[in-house]
Amino acid sequence: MFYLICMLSCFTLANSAEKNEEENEEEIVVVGRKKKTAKLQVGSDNVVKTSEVIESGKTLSEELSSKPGITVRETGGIGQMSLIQIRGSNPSQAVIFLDGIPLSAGQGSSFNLSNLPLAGFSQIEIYKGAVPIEYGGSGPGGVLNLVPAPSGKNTWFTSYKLGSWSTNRISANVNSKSPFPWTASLDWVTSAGDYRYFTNGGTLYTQEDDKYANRINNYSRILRAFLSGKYSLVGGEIKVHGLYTFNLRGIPGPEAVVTENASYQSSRYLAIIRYNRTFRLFDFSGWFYNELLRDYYRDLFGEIGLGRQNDRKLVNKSGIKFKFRKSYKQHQFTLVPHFYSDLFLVEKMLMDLPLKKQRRYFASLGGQYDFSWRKFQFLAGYGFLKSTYQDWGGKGEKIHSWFFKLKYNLENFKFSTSVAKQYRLPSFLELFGDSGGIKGNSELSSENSLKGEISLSWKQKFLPWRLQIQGSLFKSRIENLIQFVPNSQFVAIADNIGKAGIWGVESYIKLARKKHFETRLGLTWLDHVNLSDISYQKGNKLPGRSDLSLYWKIKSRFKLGSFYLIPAYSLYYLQGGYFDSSERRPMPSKLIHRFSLNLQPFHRTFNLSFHFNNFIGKLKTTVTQTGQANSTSIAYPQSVSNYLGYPLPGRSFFINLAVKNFTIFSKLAN
Amino acid sequence: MNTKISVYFLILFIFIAGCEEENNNSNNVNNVNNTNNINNVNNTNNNINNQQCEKIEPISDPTRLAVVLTDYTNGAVSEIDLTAEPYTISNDVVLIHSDAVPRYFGDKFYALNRYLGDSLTLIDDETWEVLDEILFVSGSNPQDIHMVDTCKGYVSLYAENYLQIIDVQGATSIGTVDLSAWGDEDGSCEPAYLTSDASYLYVAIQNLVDFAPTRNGRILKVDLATDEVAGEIVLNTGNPFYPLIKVPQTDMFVVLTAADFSTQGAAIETFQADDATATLVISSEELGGIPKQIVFTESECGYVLLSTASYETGIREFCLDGTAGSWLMEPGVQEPAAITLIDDELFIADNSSQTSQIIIYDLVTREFTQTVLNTSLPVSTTKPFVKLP
Repeated sequence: MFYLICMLSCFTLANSAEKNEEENEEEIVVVGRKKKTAKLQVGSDNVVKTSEVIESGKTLSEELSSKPGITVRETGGIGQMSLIQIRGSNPSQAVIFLDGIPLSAGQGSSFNLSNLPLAGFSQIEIYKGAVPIEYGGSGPGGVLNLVPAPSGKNTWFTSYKLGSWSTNRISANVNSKSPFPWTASLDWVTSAGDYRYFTNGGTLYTQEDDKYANRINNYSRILRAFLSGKYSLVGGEIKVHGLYTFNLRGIPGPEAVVTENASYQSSRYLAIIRYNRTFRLFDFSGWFYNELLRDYYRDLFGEIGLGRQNDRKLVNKSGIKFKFRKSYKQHQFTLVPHFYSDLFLVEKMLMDLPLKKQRRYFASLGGQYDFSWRKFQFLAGYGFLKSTYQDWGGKGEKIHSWFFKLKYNLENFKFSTSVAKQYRLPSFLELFGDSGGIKGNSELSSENSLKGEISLSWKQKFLPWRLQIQGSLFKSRIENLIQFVPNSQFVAIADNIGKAGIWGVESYIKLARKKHFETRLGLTWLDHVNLSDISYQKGNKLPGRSDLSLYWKIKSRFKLGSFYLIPAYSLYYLQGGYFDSSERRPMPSKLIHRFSLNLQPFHRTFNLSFHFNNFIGKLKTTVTQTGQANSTSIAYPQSVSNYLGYPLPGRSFFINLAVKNFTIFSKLAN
Repeated sequence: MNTKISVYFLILFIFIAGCEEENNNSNNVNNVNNTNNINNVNNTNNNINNQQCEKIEPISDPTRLAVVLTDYTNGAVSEIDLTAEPYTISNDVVLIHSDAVPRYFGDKFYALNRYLGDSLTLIDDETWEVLDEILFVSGSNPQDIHMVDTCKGYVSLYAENYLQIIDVQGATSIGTVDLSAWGDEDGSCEPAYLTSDASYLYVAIQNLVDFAPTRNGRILKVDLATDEVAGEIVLNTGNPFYPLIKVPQTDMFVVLTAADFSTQGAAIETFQADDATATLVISSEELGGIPKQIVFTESECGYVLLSTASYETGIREFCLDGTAGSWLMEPGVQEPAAITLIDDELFIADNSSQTSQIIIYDLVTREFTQTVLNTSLPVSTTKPFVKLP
């Protein structure tokens, strides 16, 4: 009924759509300074406007999933693991940066997007192909860079969201220009995560024990705070960023294992001081940073895996980074030295053992040359990284990375092609394991990938319509892939045994009529092959990747008195692929519908939004497990999931109220 | 424009109206009176006297060999026909849990589904049809099953401090054996592998905290008549991690320990029913690795499968007098995962990364035969071979 009312309202209001809305061009992302600099981005689909995500009440995962080439896979529930796959790569191969400084994934190798702050940032830049040398040569999957936003204006913003699974979220952000430009933001999220799910009881052949139940021990408490300011100093500009994130969540058991007590707590402290100055001969940027991550994993009753665990882990990363840039006519040279260290401490509190400490040092030097000639741009970069390991017998490495990129820009048409070699360092978890079933391997080497892409983008105005089409063809080959080789009792050891080949096509079409109407279609097709020498995996598809992903969104805006009414519908479809490396467990197709309705006044001081996610709400799907060449098979019901044993929620409903720049509060803020 | 928007919302409405109602698909949501659920202690049924319970006879002349395969996401059973040479293998005759321990007792094949399975699958070994599934406590992580006849069996639950006694015919619990007195700092005694003689069930107690033994391992003796612990045999080393083996033509049992898996402090030990302490035969340092599986080719000699500190595996000769002989397979050359003996032939599962296969070593000619049986998945490392009649 709710939809019906909304839809009828939409029909009625369609005729009253505003006529004289100013045209809002897509913003062009400039990476670096305001001078004429080379840009590695192609198209606005590679940018997430964080303020829009927060104001609309969406999650970052939902927003990123709408980008072509990107899949976000979650273990279920708000605050639980949310992992990004860019163009079929592993989540561990994506690196997150904050103003050019890499954020540590902690002990593990994959960054949990649930911990990523949004408030206080203007946007997140996404690099899927070649990556500017200032981000180093890491991130063979891709790079996300959070851009802080001390806007230099007096603005403020707050929002409150509530909805399914006792979810509450409060966000607030203040920007001020006095006594210097600064921004402060706070984001607090709680969720019980107690959604309905289906379980087959762990038995494939018996359906008597199949049932629906409420997920327990799936709660989360997340706090994200960010402070940033900039100040003119000694002929230059100094920027200071401070980030604190906290995530306490229960760990629900996999499959039929129900846990009640296991929990995971992580906190991150990050401080960055950046100094920019333009000298007569060159532009200079210097960063000093320190990052501290504390993980606290408690499984006091041995509910998950073998044995009990009560472990505290600490990762302390400190570094200093410089960037020298010299522009001469159409040439530009960039040099980026970067030195940092990683310290890893483990405290096993169940046993009276001394602290285990491991440290590694890194020194890297990267250079980039940019050349612009008429409509062409050519970029080339090379990076060298030397790692030295201390406190354990692991080997240090010397790693080379490079890229070439060529761009051709016409007014409406853009073409680019690039090829890049990048690497991923082994994580502490892969090197040293945990107290449970994960066994480390201190002899691991870095993963490396060779990848290339060709991208085309075309924009055209057919007033009042705007059309944007872009497409990319990409290919990558990953060597030395680190995989956990499983053994009985969930014991696994990391090893460099994997090889993979991925190629695919992604396309994006956007049609908009000023701000009244917009539809977007994103489509990604992947061919992903396991190239390892393991007999039962060779030639198979890589696990956990869909062959086809499709995203379609349609949005309209109508006038209702002195308000805008903005209904939107989106569809997300995944097809193909396997859960496993042996191609015995095909992933069922997944179709998710979302509907949202935004209500905002003309002056846009508030935005009331309603979100109905996954409104078909399917919890159960039938999967088929096959034997060799389908010699034997079983079809049985299983929960809808991204990862086997971790059921996803069904339908959910959220209301979000965002208020910004209301005059009386603005004065107080000023 | 308006027409298009109308069509869009009309489609949307039709779509919503056709939405599947989740609750309509509910499958036995409220069925808690599951007769297969042995977690329900009220379901206990001690009366198994009316059933046809037969004594389990050892298989003297196997005609088939079942082997459990797994990549630890998928599990399957393959069947090797031993009636004619060259032997042939039928892969994936039945799909099972990915971490299953296989057994055969009298009239059917048992797949004990360990971590995340927490159940027992009963399978007809002729047709490979699944007959029944019996559930244990969620997260209990069953490790081994030992049937004393075709009805009554004992199941060790790794995460619980008791043995579950089950009636397989009725798929019910008929009692427990309390082991809580052997719990250590973490409260759990980690009961694992089982075997028996005419009087006792022998239970290997690992006593681990964070994968390291907190004290020497124990073999508990459970009186089969009273289902109570009647005594313990203290091992010289920690963590009896692998299946218990009876030495042919003797009353002696062999226990293989893994200590903290570092290849230091593990051993082969032997015990008999009346022992208070087991006898240390040979240490892992002398063997060159952690002993994982053994087969006896003579009365007190045979082959042992070893795992080194770098997780490489090899096979070498050994005797219960404490001597380690020559290597049949040096560690690191291939990847033997399991061994079993059929007559004069040693079946070796080779999980080298490029291949997953079973090869055969002829003990008479002391050469490998030409037979190579390719498996569809790697062979399980947890005593995967089961002889079938």
